Amino acid sequence: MASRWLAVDRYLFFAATTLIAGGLVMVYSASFAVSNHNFGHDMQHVTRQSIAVLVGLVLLLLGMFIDYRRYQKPVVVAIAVLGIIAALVVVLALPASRGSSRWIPLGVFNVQPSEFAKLVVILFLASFLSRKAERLNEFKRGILPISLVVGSITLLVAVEPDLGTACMIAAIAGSMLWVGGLSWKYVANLGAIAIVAATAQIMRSGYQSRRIVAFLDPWADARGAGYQTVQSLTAVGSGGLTGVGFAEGQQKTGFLPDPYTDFIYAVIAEEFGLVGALVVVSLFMVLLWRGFRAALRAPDPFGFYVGIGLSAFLVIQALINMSIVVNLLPTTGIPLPMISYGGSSMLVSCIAVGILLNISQHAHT
Amino acid sequence: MVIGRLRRDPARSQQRTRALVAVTGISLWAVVLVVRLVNLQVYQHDTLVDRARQNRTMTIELAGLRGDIFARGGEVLATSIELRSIYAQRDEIEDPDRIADLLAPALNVTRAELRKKLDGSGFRYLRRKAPPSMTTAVRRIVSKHKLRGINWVKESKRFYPQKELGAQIIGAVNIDNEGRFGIERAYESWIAGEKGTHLAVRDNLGHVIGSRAAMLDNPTRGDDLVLTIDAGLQYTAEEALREAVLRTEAEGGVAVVMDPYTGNLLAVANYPTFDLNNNNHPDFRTYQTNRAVAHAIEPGSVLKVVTVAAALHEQLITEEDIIDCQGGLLRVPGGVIRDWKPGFEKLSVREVLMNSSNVGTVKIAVKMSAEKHHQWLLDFGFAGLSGVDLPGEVGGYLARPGTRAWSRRTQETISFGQEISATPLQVTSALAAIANGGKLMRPRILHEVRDRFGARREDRLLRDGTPVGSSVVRHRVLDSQIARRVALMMESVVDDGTGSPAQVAGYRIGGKTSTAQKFDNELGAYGGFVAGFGGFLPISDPRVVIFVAIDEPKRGSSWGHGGSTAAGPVFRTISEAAIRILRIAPDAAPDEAAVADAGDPDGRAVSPLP
Repeated sequence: MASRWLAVDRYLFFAATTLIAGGLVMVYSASFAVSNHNFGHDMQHVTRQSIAVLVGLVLLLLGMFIDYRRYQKPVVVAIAVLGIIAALVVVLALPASRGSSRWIPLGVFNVQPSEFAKLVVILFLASFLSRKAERLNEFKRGILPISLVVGSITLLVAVEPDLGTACMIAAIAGSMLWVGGLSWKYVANLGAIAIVAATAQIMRSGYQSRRIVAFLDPWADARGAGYQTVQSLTAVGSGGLTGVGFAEGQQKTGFLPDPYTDFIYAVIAEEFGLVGALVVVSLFMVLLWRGFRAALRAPDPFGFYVGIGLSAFLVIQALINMSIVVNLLPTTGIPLPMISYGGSSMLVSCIAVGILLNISQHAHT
Repeated sequence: MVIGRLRRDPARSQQRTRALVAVTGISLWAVVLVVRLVNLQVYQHDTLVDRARQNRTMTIELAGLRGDIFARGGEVLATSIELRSIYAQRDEIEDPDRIADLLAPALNVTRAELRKKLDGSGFRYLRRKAPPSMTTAVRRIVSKHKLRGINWVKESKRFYPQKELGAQIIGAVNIDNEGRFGIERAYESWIAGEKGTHLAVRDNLGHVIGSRAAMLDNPTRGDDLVLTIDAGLQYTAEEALREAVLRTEAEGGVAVVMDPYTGNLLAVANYPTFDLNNNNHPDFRTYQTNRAVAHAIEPGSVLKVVTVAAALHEQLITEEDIIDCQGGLLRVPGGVIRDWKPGFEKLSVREVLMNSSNVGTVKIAVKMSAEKHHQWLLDFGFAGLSGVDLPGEVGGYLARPGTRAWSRRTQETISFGQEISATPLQVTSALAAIANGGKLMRPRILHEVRDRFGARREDRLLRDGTPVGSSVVRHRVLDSQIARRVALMMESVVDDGTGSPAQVAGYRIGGKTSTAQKFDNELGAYGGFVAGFGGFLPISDPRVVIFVAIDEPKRGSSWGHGGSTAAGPVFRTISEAAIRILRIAPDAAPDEAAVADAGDPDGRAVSPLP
């Protein structure tokens, strides 16, 4: 097996590590002004993020070296599912901060279970599909138990409230089920349920519906609901072809909200222009290509589904994030994997890349 | 072969297809994203760059620098000094309780007061225009404890080095340096200077990125004003007035000193007064009115001079004509007119003035028609604005003959200065017309306007269109001969009559006392007194006209309530100061004066002295 470790997919490895290293640099650029303003020095956010990256790289290597087939055991899957549900319940029980309960405080770092929920859903579905793919389109023994598990996790995340991550989990589950062979009947039904649920949520919450209106015409309310989008578009547009230069961006200095988390892509586009923005898109496309390639060449169905799930997670989340930045999608809080500031997101992305790399080593050649 | 293996398994073949469809779908999404990026970064680039620039630039207004106000001799009456205002940027504050603990003593406020100001978000002044010692103390504490969110900014503060000197004339500014009353307000547009704008590049965290700032318009310094006021005379007048008001237990007082030939106001004193720098003091608000121009009073006996001058000019009387004063009692329609003491019988016109006989004056007045008498008062500047370049002037009250307000005894009453109201400035101007040989001057207080380089500005015009600093003769009231004769009659008032407390050794002074009863509009009856004294010196070539009025002196007070005793000493004190300050020579012997007259083209003091 030792030789196999050298067979790790180099494209995948370099695409991921480039994104992580570049992301850390961009976290510095996007955060130093705010850090200086709030903490009196430039390094507040980048220091914390560096620790997350170091831990993340350790987890990436661990994921790369541990045989993915070990996760297949039903007991592992069961513990993961029950553990994440317990963690999400604990989060809800904790006092809310900034209007939502997303974090479990662990001293220096806060852990965000909803990020880890994505991995658990992928693990659960891969396990289910690899063993019982033929029952997928049966209601009682297929779609119902899947819906119960995935649905309850999604719902727990949604009520935090963290709608962005809930949608993300639903998107990952949807992709995996669809690739797994879900019949068009269920695709239509589940799609309809998702659309109705989303519409109901938007109609119910004035906050959400204002975001939709702002999505359609952000300039109409540039100081209110459209503010984030307008500032983001301004940042991206003023980048031009080659950008204003590293650390030279102005939009991050208090105009663009969350410049080092959800809108870090706008900072990249402002400072490195179309060239920089396309490099990031291309790296994620490499990830998509090599991730699906690893999945398709996996020696067993479990490897196939895990590969599909992890690739879909990393790339779809990245596309959603970037689409929000350029106002192709309405604003919701979703980090850019491997780049945005945030420990939990970084660790989960690193684990995902590590496992993908492990799967790639087992490819049939 | 993976593909071959998958194809043998129909289920996995379907999954493989769907996986490829998913990759294609996701890739198409990426293509849309790229198209959108090109659209934003290439096609919308220019618009969005403008948008970003608007975001980042802001114009900062810089206050203009306010000009100074000087007295005639260069003494600074109002200037601006630079102080620092201390403020909190409350979003940056980490521990408001600690800041309140540390800074409350230095800011000289209670801890609770300061703590309350620190609540909320954004900018808040903690102390505007703090004294330098306070700023130093606060800075020291802030740097020692590395406190964040406490900053300071330069602001200019108006400073009045002479404190209460000329307070009602000069006026003051509000906290934003806008003139609030007095000259500070009246000439705001000249003094204020123009605001400048400064284009700054900023971030949205409250920082100005200094190196990219550009000055669009420099703020300019406003004009300096030089007043005709003589600081020494002003000071003397205020001190003398203060003493008189205190000695007579009066409500207040006013004194006006004017150069009769130019109309220049050399002093305009009000009492009670206040320190212009101390705008928290209750007196600051209470005593802002400049009584010299904004408050009309019944002028009283001083107006007898006008009556006599008019009759003399109309050739109805001469100085030595004898008037029967009937023992000091005259019946008029609806009542009697009494003299201030009984017993005046046959008096010459000169003696009528000297003894201030009401009955005698009435008898002189009624030789004129009411219309003529009324016209004479208008000619002397009563019941009209003098056009002085001070704000807030009022015209005073005078009825018109033939209207209901003009009763059958109005002419009689007006002849000795009641049933008419006039500002002290109007009285001073009328006396000046007698002193200067018959010309009614427009009084003025602005001597010169200087631009920020110190050069005299010729283009500053007053409301009447005349340039600042020009002497304006409104019109001739009296022939110079007549004016001269009236002046000499006034000299006897001071020499031998009621005005003797105003005498100054070596100088010949023309003057007239007045003790007017105040008509109280609310009570509809005559109440307290206004004690007045007006006059000029030296007779041979008058250099100053002085009018003093003391409002409601008390009968039993140490100086009494009469014009002579209450206001006379103030007149004398100011006269002595004027002699010293203006270096007024004693009156020449008659023949020397005649020689001087011959060489004087202006026709000053045209009449040979007796």
